Amino acid sequence: MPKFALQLNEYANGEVLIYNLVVDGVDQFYAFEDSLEDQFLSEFKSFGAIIYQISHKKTPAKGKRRIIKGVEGGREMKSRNLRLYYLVIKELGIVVCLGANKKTQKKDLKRLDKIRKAIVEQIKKNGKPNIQIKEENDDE
Amino acid sequence: MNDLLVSPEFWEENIKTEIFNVVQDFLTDNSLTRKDFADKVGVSKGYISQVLNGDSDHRLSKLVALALNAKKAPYIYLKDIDEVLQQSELGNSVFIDFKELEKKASKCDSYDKSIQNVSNFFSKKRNKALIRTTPRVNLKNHFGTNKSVKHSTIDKADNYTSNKQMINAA
Repeated sequence: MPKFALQLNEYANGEVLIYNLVVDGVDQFYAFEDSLEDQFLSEFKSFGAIIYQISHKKTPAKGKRRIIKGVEGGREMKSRNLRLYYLVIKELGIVVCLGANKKTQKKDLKRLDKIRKAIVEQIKKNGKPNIQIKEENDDE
Repeated sequence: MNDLLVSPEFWEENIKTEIFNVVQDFLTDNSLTRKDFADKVGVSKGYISQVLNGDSDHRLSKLVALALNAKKAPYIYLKDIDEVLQQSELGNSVFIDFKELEKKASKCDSYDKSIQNVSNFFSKKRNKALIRTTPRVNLKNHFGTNKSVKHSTIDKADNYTSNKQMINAA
């Protein structure tokens, strides 16, 4: 079973806290960024802007996100080619779980549901996941 | 964080969000459909849908038309980016609540006016008191004349260069 932890998203410096899911030591938000080709980095930055807005209690435009039916607490942030999936979990708040290309949406939604179930199970067994503090030299 | 704040994407998204909220609120408050609003602005319904989805890259003329038709004056405020980064590093939001700012400014204005009024009031009182309490000076002791003048005249006289000039002025 994967080991989960949380790390505060660096763009969420407002009142609403948004965490990145860390699976076995890998921050899924940055893993997604690293996996992107240069042409998609602009869309990734748009996600950063939306995360900032949500964190500062702004309401992004309707087309920027949607509720995912079939995954409890599941949400999707949208750009032209990319999707960022996150969960709203009562005990934790908002957790960014994975990012992907919109072409693989069906597969990704199944993965998101698996992650949600695993997180809920871990909370039941071990309590809330640890919240990691990002070190200043992480970027170096 | 700074890399995000200096990216065009960040500011584009914020403008889109701002416009979305203005149009959405206007539609809701006035019970208008997208089609109604599109007719009012003179654009297609699809364009309004794009605005509400945050997809549109606006032409300046359309942006102004949208704002005015939503009963808003489209001000633009360009702030020094280094100041924005500094504010962010202090943990402050980069968003500016202009309504809140205007409220505070109007409070400051009325505070300034009250201070001014109080200051004027005391200034008048002080002047009256000065006139009442100003001792009359016998010029004979100073300049060998019997004329007496108020202090203010003596102060003015300090600017003259010779005794003769002073006596003439007095």
